[in-house]
Amino acid sequence: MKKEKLAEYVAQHTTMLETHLQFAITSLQNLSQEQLNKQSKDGGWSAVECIEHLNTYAQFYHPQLFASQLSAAKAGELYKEGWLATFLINSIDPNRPTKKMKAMKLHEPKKNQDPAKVIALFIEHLESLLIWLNKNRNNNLNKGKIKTSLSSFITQTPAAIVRFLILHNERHLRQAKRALQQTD
Amino acid sequence: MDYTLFRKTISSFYPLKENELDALQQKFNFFEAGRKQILLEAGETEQYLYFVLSGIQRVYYWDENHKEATIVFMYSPSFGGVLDSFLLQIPSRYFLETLTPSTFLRIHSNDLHLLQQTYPAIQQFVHLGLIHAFKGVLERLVELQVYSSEDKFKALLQRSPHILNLVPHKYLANYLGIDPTNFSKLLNSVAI
Repeated sequence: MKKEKLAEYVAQHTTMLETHLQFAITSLQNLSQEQLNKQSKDGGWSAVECIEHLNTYAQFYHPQLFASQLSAAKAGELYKEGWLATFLINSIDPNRPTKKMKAMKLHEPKKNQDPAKVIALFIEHLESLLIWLNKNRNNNLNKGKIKTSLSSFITQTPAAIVRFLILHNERHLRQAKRALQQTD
Repeated sequence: MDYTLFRKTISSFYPLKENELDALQQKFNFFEAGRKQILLEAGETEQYLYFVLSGIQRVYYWDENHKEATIVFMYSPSFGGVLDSFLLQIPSRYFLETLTPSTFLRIHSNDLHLLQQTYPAIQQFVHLGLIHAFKGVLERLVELQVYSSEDKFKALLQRSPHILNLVPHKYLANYLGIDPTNFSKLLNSVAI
């Protein structure tokens, strides 16, 4: 179980979002279509497919997050995470030994997307999540039910969903970097 | 707080005496904001004139029909803000937001007003600054009406070569008044 205060949780995730935005702005958006489309040699995704995969998560979760009504948190409120959230977050944690996973149908990258559009959309998603997190930095992110893409019967708190989304971004941004760094 | 950049920028633009620079410096206070924070909303009256220490910001128009126009970018080292609202003390038609984490020095309108009354040279400095801002607006009008998308793209890169790596391209496309798809086509086709 994570024991950090919600305020620390917000600061830590804001920093990660900022790092991801900087990478997307300084690097990804300035790469050519060929670079972004370069297929991974192990048969894995190209950089643009990694980003497109992340976009499907944002498209599923952001509207729910942004519509959630949150109330103010008590001072010193701790970040809470249930067992299922811990399991799901661990399964995509980029700092744990990675097990290759198969994407759910809903989250599979679509073929033949315009790379520039995919990257622009990704940046927009990161910006809007950053704005939302900043707006709710003093709210209780442990309260509220966000339906997961596993099943609409399985819900998670906004805090757990945001942690999942940001760590998941980190995981696939690393994968995108590997795809870009391959030499021919 | 280090005011070296602030003083150097002013001095290279208009010859203020040490005591006038000191008087200005005293009223410019440090202020910082994270990425994508709105510093002024349309309808509010701008109370501050900003000197940008770091980061990039934009002034933009936005309406209920989601029509958006990026009017100007602000960078270091320069003065900026929503000048008409600030000087006339009327509600702004525009938003001011940060596009990256940003730091500023800023002065309150009452303080600037007082300094301008006390020091004729500061009055002159502000006056000259406004004329240059006006000159910039006229040049931009010409660019928007006469230049092709490719010319506008090239002119932007000549003025600010690093901007492609600093802000999301959608804001650059919006500033030039071209479609984001066109912008990425230009990026791929124009030899930089």
